[in-house]
Amino acid sequence: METRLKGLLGETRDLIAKVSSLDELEALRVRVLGRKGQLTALLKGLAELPREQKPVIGKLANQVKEDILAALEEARRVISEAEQERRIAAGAVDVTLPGRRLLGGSKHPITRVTEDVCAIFQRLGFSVAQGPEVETDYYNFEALNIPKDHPARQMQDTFYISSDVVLRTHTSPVQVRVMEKQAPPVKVIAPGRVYRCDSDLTHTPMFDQIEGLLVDEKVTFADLKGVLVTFLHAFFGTEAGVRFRPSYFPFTEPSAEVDIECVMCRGQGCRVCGQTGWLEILGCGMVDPAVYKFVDYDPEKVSGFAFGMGVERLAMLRYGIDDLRLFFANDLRFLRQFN
Amino acid sequence: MLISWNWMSDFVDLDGIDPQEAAARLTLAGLEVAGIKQLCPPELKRVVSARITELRPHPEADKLSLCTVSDGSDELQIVCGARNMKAGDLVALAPVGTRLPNGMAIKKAKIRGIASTGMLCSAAELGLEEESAGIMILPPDLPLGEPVIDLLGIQDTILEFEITPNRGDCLSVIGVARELAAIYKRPFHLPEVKPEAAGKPVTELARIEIEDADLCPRYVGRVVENIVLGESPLWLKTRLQAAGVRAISNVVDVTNYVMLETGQPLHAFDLDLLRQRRIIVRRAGKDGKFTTLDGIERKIDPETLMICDGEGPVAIAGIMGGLNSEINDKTRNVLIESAFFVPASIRRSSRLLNLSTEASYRFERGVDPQATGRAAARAAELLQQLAQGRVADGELDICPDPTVQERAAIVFRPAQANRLLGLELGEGEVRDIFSRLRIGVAAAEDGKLTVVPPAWRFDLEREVDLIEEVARIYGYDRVPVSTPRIAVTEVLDDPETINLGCIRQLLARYGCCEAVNYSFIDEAAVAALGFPAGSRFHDFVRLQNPISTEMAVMRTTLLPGLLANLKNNLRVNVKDVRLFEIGRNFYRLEGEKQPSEELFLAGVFCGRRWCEHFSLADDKVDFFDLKGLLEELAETLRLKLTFTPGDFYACLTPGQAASLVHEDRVVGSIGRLHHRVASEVYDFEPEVFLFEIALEPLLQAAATTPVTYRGLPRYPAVYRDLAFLFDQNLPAAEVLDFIRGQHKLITEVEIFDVFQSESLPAGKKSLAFRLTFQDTNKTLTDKKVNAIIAKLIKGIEDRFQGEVR
Repeated sequence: METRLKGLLGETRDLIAKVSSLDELEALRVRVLGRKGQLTALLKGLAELPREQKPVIGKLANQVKEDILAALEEARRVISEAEQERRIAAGAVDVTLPGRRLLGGSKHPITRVTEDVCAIFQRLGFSVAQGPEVETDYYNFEALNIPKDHPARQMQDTFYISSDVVLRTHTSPVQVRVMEKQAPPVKVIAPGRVYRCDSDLTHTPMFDQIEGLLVDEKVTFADLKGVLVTFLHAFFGTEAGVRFRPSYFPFTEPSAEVDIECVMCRGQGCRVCGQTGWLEILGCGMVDPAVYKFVDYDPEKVSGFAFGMGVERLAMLRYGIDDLRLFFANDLRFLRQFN
Repeated sequence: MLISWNWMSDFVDLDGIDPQEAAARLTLAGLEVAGIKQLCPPELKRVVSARITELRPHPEADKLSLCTVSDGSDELQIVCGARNMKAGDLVALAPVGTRLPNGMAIKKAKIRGIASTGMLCSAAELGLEEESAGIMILPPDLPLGEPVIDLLGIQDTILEFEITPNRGDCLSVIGVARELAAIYKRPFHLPEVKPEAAGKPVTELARIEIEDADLCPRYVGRVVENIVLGESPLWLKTRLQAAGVRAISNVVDVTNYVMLETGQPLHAFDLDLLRQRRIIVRRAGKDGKFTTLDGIERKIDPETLMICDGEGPVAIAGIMGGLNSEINDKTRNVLIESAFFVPASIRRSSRLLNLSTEASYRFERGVDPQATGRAAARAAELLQQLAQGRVADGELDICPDPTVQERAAIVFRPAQANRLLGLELGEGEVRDIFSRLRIGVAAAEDGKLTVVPPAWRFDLEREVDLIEEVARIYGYDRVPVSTPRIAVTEVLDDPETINLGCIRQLLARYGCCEAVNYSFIDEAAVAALGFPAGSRFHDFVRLQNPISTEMAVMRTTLLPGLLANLKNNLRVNVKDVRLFEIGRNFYRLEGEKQPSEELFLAGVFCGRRWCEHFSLADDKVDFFDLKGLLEELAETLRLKLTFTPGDFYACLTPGQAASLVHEDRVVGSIGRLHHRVASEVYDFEPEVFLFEIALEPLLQAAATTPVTYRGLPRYPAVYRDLAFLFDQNLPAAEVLDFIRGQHKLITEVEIFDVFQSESLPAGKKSLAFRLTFQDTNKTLTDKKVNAIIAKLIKGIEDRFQGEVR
């Protein structure tokens, strides 16, 4: 009996070693340990054994059963791990193949820059204002202190709709419209499309400007410098040098052009800055008292400043675009780069 | 404007000042220097003085000479084609290896069999004048072997200025020199002009009358007789060249020279061509037409100021002289005009004539009314020196309005300047700045200065003009940087702007790139899209002066721009196109000055639906891609947009197009571009889908629609699927709306299958719906749901003749 039990253990171990699937293993378990299995069959002979042997053989039988179970369990672990690995291997993909993507869209670089500029000024407490693109001579020129036959009109080649209606040549008319509607304090930023009758490599007949206006009591030229330096540093993400130099606009006095140290060459002089080390970025100045007269503000009581900048120029500097015409060609090979 | 550094040093001591540094200081004082260059290229230094020691004819060529020249150390043999030299002359020698300004490189050469080692140059070949008759003969007593440009002192630095329109006073050498003197605190020196009068009293030679003194407050005439017309000397030609002006003849050159130097435009009349030897300054009146010296007959507005002689016009005042009194080969006696014309009058005439000249440019901006006489005298002096003229005694100075020479006093408050600039300047500093700018302080009391600007500063009329001067000379860079102390007020973010940001983001997420097109279009493009005549799409705002006919009207639809973009992209082989644009359309309004400007969104789509991927089918975009996008847009804006199969743009394909309706108003169209338009107008091969929608009504509605919240269900929902056969033309939306309205427990309805097949009865389609039932108060029973469904089926049978499948 003992020999047979040990033999069963040995045989079963040998069989387990040859099993390669969980199904076979289960079949083996049933064959050996099942209710009608070999072990049960063997133990039927237990009754015929002498009494004193019964406990000994019984103990051995239990031991054999446990050993078989342990061997089965071990085999199950090994086989299921192997199966798992086979499944994983079967599911492998070439991870170097490209992924499934959504089509890439984008905002126009002019939009991106406009949004960025407006956001900076909105953080400084400015609100966004708008005005018509087909504008009257009054708002585009007269109320900005540019009477008929003023030499400054020659600085801006104007598209005419009729003798006194034009396509606005700048966003400055929004200044007048805002001040007409509202008493100080005024803090607005006005992005918009403007038009000039000029078309060559460096001019397009339509382009985009952003105008700003701040009027209150006791606003100074020093404040103008502060606000614009803050803006330029925020927009270009540098602490680059900023310089203000006197210029002329009929609707501001004192007037200034604002230059930033060339962001391409850091002021060393390059093709982009025309070897000067400076980039002309915006025009600005203290609002001319003549403009206040048109909107019923008292220049003895309030003061303020206005500024304007070209969006395409900012976008060209930010993205290193060297051809103005790309902005309006709407070539997807260009536009897709801005997503 | 080009200004010569050497020329300026006639008026201000520039010793020790570096032109580069001066350019930077001038720029920071408001006179922008756009460029600096040397008059002569550095290479020209290699051209040296040499003496012709021997001159003989070329043995093989009649027109060539053989020169032996010495530069002091070597003797060279040079073949020369000029004839104006003789042995012993000092000439300009370009040795072998020199590259001349005209690009010619001097090499060792054999000319007709004789070796030539170098070249004897003309002034033109050195870039010193336009044309030369022969080689340059230098003054005889100069040393040998020295650079010619140094010997002649013609090397010069040229500053290129961009003068703002308010600074007419700086459109001259003297004007810029005055600024330099103010900036560097150096004395400004204006040499006295004293033409030696050798002729008859001028009053016996000519007469001047001003009829319209309101347009011409001062007119000075000088007469120079017996002039010898000829070439100007090299020094004068060099200066003209430095200023970018071509030399013509001594008389014309002198008038140009004085204008460039003083800023006062002059005109020289041939005195003998002035009938009755009279000048009359008056409005054109009925003169009508006049031929200017460029040979063009021009129409003259009656208000335009003319210079006339005893019988008729001889010049358009301040703009251009006439052909009839021009200086010519036979001119012996000239009358020099130096006048002050009212700037506004010249601006107006110049604009009406569409004619701008160096003279009108200066008159428009204002010339110094006190310097009128000096300029005339300076020209007379130069004509005496350079054209052997005999200057008549005295001048004709007609000044009917002497006040033109005076400037009104301005009250200046240093405190106001400090208040506006954010500075704390003392009165002393302000006075110093004024004195440097020749602004006179007439009186000072109560912290107020009464000041008088110089005659040439037309831009200084108000206190604020002077504040700018103070800031400019003090230095903008020295003004501190501060932040405004401003009242805190609520800043409302424009809801329109916020929503536009969301819309752009949504479209970008759908793979669309944003386009920006010009607002002007070709009206033919609108007609080609089939928009009916008489509709508002033809209410064009027209430009009076368009760049071209293709850009002559303001757009009434965004589609022509986007479709042209599509075409251009297809042409460069970009096949999958999704473009959108947000921009204004413009519609003329009857009886209104300004049109209606309305914000629209449009998009064009063609090509693949998905990004190319090996695992995806090669589907193309279709109607439902665009519709889904617009549905999502409506959801983003929290408003309802319906799609109805009618009333859409004529350029779309019936059966694959819809109008977009918002609150009973048609706000746009969506659909497939009609194949006829696609092929005939645009030559498109692929299917193109597009939409255009008015944004303003949507943005307004969106701004007023708040987000609302509903509680989450606490009881389970019940889902049921139902399919019906319908007539194939029945719009599914009608059934959907019907089901939604049937019972409040039906909370959602979706179409999950649309099926059309030969296996179905002819003319039928199957629509399958998934219904969600939800009671917020209790768990629904099958019985309840079944009752609702039974009623629903009956309703659909009655209403749409649908059959349950």
